[in-house]
Amino acid sequence: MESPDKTRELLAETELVRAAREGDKEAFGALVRRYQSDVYRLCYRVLGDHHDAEDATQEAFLRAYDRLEQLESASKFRSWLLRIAVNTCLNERRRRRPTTELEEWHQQDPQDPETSTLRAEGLRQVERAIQELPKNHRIALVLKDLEGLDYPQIADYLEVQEGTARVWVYRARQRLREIIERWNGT
Amino acid sequence: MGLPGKAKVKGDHRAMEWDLILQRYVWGELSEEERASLELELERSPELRARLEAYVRLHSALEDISKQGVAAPDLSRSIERRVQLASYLRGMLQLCGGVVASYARAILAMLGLSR
Repeated sequence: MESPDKTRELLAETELVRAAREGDKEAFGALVRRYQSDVYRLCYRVLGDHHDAEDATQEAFLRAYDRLEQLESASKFRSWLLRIAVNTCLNERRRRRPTTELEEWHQQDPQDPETSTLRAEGLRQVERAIQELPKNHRIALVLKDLEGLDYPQIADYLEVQEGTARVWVYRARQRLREIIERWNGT
Repeated sequence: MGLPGKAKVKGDHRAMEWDLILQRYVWGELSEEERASLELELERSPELRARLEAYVRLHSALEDISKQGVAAPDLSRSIERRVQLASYLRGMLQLCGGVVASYARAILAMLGLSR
């Protein structure tokens, strides 16, 4: 059961969505302020670039505004909005390629004295490796392992069968594991 | 769990099955029975243990990344401006469409082509 605070929050959100649907731009502005961080974080994790994430976030909100009438349940605004953000990221043509440091890193000698520095940079390298994954696999991995969604939700967001979502996450992790093994020289 | 035979994880056609099982192990998706079977197999295979270690590192890295905040800029003003502009353009298009349609109807009437 939802907590009283959560219920109040949901009610307020439902009211905001209803008002926005009736053309109240201030209500839509309140929804933007409430969810822009969530949308931006998702876009950044998928696209790996702050400028691309800004563009995608703005585009996602614009599309949401245009399609407010299609939203079936006002209480599901957040997941509906994030689904739009995922689709925006899928269609986003990357303006900037991430740096090719990842490839340089692959070619480093694991016995090199710089190995410890590379270890310290591990997280950043994994983030870069994520950007090298095929888009579908990357989005599935971001939704599962970084955003904490379950497989049925991922399948819903990506409009694929649950089995496909599972395979994409599996392949993404497998590819990242290969990169980590190379990183450790095994 | 149907373990995919002898645990040779490199150059083996069962490597992918092992990968899947190891992932499910690390991400906590195996049953008690499945975990026990895999742990027996892990004791026997150094290759499998090495691969498991890589997945454990990956799991840990992804967890750390997920906990890191992403500093989001405040885009609300810019989004609100774009929403207003989009609404304005849509209104203008409708208005222009209406004016053009009126002209077209007037011309058709002048030419005596309207029904």
